[in-house]
Amino acid sequence: MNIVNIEVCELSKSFGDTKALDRISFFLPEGAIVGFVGPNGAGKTTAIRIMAGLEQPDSGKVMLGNLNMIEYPDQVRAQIGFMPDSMPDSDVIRVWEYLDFYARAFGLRGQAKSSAISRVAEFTNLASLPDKMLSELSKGMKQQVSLARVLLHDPKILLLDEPAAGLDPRARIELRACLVKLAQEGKTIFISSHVLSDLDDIATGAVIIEKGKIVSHGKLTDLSASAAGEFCRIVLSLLELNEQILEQINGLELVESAIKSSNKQIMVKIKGGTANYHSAMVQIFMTGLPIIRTERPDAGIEEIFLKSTKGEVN
Amino acid sequence: MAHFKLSSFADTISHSLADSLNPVLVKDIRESLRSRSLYYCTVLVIFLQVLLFVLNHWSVRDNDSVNTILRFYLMIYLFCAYVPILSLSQNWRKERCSDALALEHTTPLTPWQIISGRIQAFGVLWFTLLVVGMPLPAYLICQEPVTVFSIINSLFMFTAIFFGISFFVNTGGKRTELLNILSVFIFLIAGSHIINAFVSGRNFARAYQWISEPLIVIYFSVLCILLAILYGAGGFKPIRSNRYWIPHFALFLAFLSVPFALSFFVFHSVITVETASGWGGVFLTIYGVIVVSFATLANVRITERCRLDRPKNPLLRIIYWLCGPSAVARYSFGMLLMLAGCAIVCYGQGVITENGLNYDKFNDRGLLFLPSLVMCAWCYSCLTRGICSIFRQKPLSVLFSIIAFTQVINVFSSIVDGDAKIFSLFSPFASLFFDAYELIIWQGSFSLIMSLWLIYTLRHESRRQ
Repeated sequence: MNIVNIEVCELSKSFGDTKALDRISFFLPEGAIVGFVGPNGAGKTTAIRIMAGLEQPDSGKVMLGNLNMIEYPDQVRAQIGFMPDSMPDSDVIRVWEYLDFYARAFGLRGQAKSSAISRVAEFTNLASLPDKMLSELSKGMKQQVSLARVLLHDPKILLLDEPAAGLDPRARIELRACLVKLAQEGKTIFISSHVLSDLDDIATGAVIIEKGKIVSHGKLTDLSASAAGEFCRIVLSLLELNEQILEQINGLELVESAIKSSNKQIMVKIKGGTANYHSAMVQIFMTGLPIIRTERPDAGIEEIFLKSTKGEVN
Repeated sequence: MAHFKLSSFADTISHSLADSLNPVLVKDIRESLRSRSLYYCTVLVIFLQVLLFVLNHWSVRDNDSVNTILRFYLMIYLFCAYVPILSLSQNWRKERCSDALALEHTTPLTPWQIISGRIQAFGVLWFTLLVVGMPLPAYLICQEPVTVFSIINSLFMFTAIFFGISFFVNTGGKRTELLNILSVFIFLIAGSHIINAFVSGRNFARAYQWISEPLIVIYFSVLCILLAILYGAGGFKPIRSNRYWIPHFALFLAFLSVPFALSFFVFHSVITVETASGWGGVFLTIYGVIVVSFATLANVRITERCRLDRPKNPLLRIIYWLCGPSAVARYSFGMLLMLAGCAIVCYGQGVITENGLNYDKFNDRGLLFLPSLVMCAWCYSCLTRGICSIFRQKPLSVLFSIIAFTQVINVFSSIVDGDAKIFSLFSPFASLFFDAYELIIWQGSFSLIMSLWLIYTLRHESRRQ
């Protein structure tokens, strides 16, 4: 398989006086699941639409390997699958007709078309729905159909704009499972989402955008380590937990806050970050509390996002 | 096994054919064949065919009637062209709003393929309707001194101009329904001049001269005012759609073909005004009753499909259909009542009596009047539902139905030979039958009644919902 990376270079786009994207640059390695997060109106959809070839940027370029996607959109369309946040609705078109149309639009004919439709229908669990009208489907089913459409021509790169929007927890779990499987097949997945917890489990990288500018991007482990520098936290598991114990920990000099995270667990935030970690641990053990386990969790996308955007979620 | 093989073979052929065509064309044809608008247009074409067939057997008194028939015949093709245009522009708008059009652009399809697919779909649909409506033109061509090529060329010209105007106007904004009203207006005002500039054929130049431009201006001004009132009165509510049109259409064809088959094989003649007296007249009335019964049944079925609350007793259900919450029922019933009221007014004036719409005398026109009303109501019902399926917005659908309905009224005005004033009100020759003062009074009164009726209906509907 050819190695296909995407590189976004200095991309800018304005709508009238509003600057939607301001010279954004990032890199998506092959086979990665990269979360694209940012507050509403940050420019996520604009960036994804430019990458899908639906909008023209004012300046900058998007490189797919050695090919400029903006100058040669026709050549790269076959390698990209774009899934918008909502699927078009219709009460006169069936699921299989919808897939059939897009399969033929991507040049698939005869047996190749039939097997492509069967393959994606099986992958997205649509086998029982081919004769349903699109308007009869639930939101979750529609997203499945939309994902099936994206996969018809077996693209190497998937650009997903808010795929989990409006889905119930079960549908979200199923979608996550599908995305993980696709990543294992070597597809690069760029996924814009507001549901940050959905990305935590599957993303290997993140691009954080705010007011049209990239504020942070890279591998999730690197971003997490960087975020953890300031947000040093410890999870304490105790034999028993009550209000007195909580007050006792909150009263320690190096503890900024201690909150109950589950029945027998406390999440402790250390003052001064990593530098005070050891001193804080000494203080905690000196209390003689029945601690059976300590854990220092990584910062998740949610925390990275909050840190990077300074909590300015609109 | 043989059946399976045959079916597989047919499937293979159809899939191979579909594979070789533009994907957009195949998609649009599939969507259109499942839409009700095509069904209602076909019903309308057949209905007008039948009507014109009856008309054509009527002894023509003067040359103007020849042109009258020709222009009504052309009107069918306006409908033929208009429905695919509306469907396509509606599809286009929906796809643009829902990002489906954008998704098409993420495929390797070129913009030209996407556009040409739609134009091809329009061509296929229009050609299909043209074939459905072919028997009468063939008959007329045999009867009238018009060449085949002049008819075909003019029809293509007619459609192309309307198509062009409609698409051009639709580029001006997103409100397709308003823009289509505008395009009809532009077409009626300018279309005849454009055609006259291209076509020098005597018959077609004359056929379009009936369009009275001041009347169109008045008509569309009233329409705009009504539209403004409707916007202000209650906004738009969506109408539920029904895609199970094939059984309805089959039933309609069955009801239509049985009486006509009987007329051929039992009475050994076609239904004409000459044969409509005596038993023929009775037969025609029965036929009308059958048609309206079918219309009732179809409406009840549609109401059932819409899953509205309804009584279980069949008799109550019919009453419910007539007076219940079904928008179609109300509009049809309201129009039927209006027509009946108009007929009573005309009768009171003594105009109808003088011109033969008198049941006592049992003459030709009198016999045609009742079935005409019945068919008129049926036609209006079809139109309303058809147009509802296009716009999914009640007030606008009703307005469009009225536009289309006035054209049907034109046909009826020629049945009574333009002498019954209420039918002649919409006639392009209205100015011949009324002086200016009287025309304004009639038009104004009618507009007022129509406005009140629409506002009442809309308010009632809003309250119900």
